[in-house]
Amino acid sequence: MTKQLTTNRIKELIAAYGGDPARWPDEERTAAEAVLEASPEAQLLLKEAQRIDAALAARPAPVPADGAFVDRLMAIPAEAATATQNNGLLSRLAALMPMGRAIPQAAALGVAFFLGAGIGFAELGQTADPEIFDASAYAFGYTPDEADFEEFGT
Amino acid sequence: MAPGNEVPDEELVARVAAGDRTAYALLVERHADRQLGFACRVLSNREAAEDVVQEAFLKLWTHAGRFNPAAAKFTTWFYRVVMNRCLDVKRRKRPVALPEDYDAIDDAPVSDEALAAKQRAEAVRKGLDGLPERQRVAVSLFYFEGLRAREAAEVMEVGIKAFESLLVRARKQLAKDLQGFDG
Repeated sequence: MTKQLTTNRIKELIAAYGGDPARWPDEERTAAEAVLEASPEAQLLLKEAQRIDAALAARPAPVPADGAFVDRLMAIPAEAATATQNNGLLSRLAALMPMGRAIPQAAALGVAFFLGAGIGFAELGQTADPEIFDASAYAFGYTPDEADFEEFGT
Repeated sequence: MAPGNEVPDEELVARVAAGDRTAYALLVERHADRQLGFACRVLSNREAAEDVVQEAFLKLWTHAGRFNPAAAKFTTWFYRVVMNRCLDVKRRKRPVALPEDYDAIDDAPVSDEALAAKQRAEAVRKGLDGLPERQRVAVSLFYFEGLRAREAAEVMEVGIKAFESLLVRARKQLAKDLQGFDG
């Protein structure tokens, strides 16, 4: 049984689904086409909707997936297996996630930072000059006394 | 045994859940292009779209067991995975300005008709790019991917009325954007 559709509903169908009744919901299409035939107003709206449909249809299709991209997708199971064997979250992300490409660089930067900081602090310890210490301490309104040095075993 | 192409997607996913790489490869062959096209339409950025689709296939390989064929068709589920990831990317990233020559009208002499068609295509592109993200997804699923309204609504996890409303608003905006361009 086809249900009766109002002209308003036809207008809604056109406004949403456009000027090709074949794309309208199956359960309403037959009844809609009957109303459409009898309604010049709906036919006008249909024509206007077809103008927008044509503009949308003229949009170029995106370029299909190329071989390199398909290879990347095909490699996922093998890479997932390797990542599982390595059992490291970092390596799993780096191997599989597109944004993981940045992880090795980030890790290298982190290592460089800690090495730099470590060397810097080591140098500071070796070359500490009591006068420099005093100057910086006084700058912060601090005057060392004997007790400070006893506490730190110096 | 029927050739691979005749095996339903849902059966292939069940095989993927059991670690079958051949089944996975068949799903890549069947769906990579389609999903990449969809992601490109939603994101307007090829590289980001490829990343999204790659993540979706990774999810397929690692989480195939979570797919419930009683709840949805594979294509519906997979469109949803890609759509959600696209929306995440769009929400997280600030829009990147397109290069000046992107899809631009070149200076080579063209007929008035060809020029009008190019200008119209440019207006459509800008109109689509300017749509709110969910309207854009709705338009992409229904008009470009060719999904039926009910399936597209299911992908978006909205009722059919809500889906219709997204399309109505999108088309209204596009009609406005196309004013002045004769069809």
